[in-house]
Amino acid sequence: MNRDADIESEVRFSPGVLYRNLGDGGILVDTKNGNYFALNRTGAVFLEALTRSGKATSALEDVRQLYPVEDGVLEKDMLDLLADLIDARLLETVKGQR
Amino acid sequence: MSRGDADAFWFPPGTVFLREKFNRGQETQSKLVLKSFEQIGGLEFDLSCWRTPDGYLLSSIGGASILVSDGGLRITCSGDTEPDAATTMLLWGPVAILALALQGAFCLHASAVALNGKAWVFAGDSGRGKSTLARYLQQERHWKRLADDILPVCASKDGATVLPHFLQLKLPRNEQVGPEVPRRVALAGVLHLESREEGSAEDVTCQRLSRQEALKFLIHQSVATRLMDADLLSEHFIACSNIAMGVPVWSLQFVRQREALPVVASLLESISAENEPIR
Repeated sequence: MNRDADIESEVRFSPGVLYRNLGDGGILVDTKNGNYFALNRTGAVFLEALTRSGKATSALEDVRQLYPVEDGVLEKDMLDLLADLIDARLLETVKGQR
Repeated sequence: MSRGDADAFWFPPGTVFLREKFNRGQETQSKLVLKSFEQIGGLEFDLSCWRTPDGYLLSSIGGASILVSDGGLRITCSGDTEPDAATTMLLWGPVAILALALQGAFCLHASAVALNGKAWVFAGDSGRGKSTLARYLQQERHWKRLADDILPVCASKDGATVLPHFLQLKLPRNEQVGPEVPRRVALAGVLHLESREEGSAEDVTCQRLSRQEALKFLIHQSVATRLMDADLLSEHFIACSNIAMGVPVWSLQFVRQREALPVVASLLESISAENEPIR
């Protein structure tokens, strides 16, 4: 688990990472090494909100409006996803802006 | 500057071939994309691929340097002699693939056949029966074989087409597609061949892949992506995404026996009759 990922994280795509929403979810590919990461619909909504705003807090709020589940559950799932994407070097935290 | 014989090879219309001496010193202003030993058409190359301000420069140690520029429409061989066998193989292989990619057509490692004017593509790892199936369908079912190894595909949000006139190095000259075949054929579907060694010839299954699975498969089956820089890889990703979004991709599983081929053919004919590409 990436310890840098928390609710206050500001992130962006790592260089060379491409993303596409395919309707039934999304897929990220790292063109530097060919690694893929598939996202379900909820994950795709979160990632798109995250990369629009750059902020985990506002992305979480966007997802919460679409998927009304318990706050703690949603937050844990999304932060786990965020940590996985950072661990996979598909997203990077923006330094010095926190 | 002189026009070479290379225009006798298959390249997209409008491609200009030149032979001239050019300054390989431009490598210093360029980014190395790939340096590796490669086998192309049975020959070995110590190949370098550079992204230059003008395009892509491919060079092999002891051999020619070839510049692909002007969006893939201008191909310049260094020196003023006739291309030797190694240079010719570079032209037919990675140069042609890069030139097409710069024009928006990306190559799959695949065979292909046409039925009722639409292309069906068979992709998969080596030894899975791509060539055998395409040959069987042509000889026994009278589908038209379009490709045997490398197939350029163009894709946009409006649909996908294949370019069947790409030279198939594995086929003799008299088995290349003829002028009766259109330069572009609409792509109806892609099949991921997953043949197995044991089982019943009757046991043939075909399962539609999710778009995510389809996209991963198409990227994996793409040819020469290691020669592409980040911008071209981005275009390749978009093209593969468009195919995954608009064209059905199936996993086709069958046993590697000749007796299975009629069963596979019947299944494909049934899919072809039912298939309406998703938009």
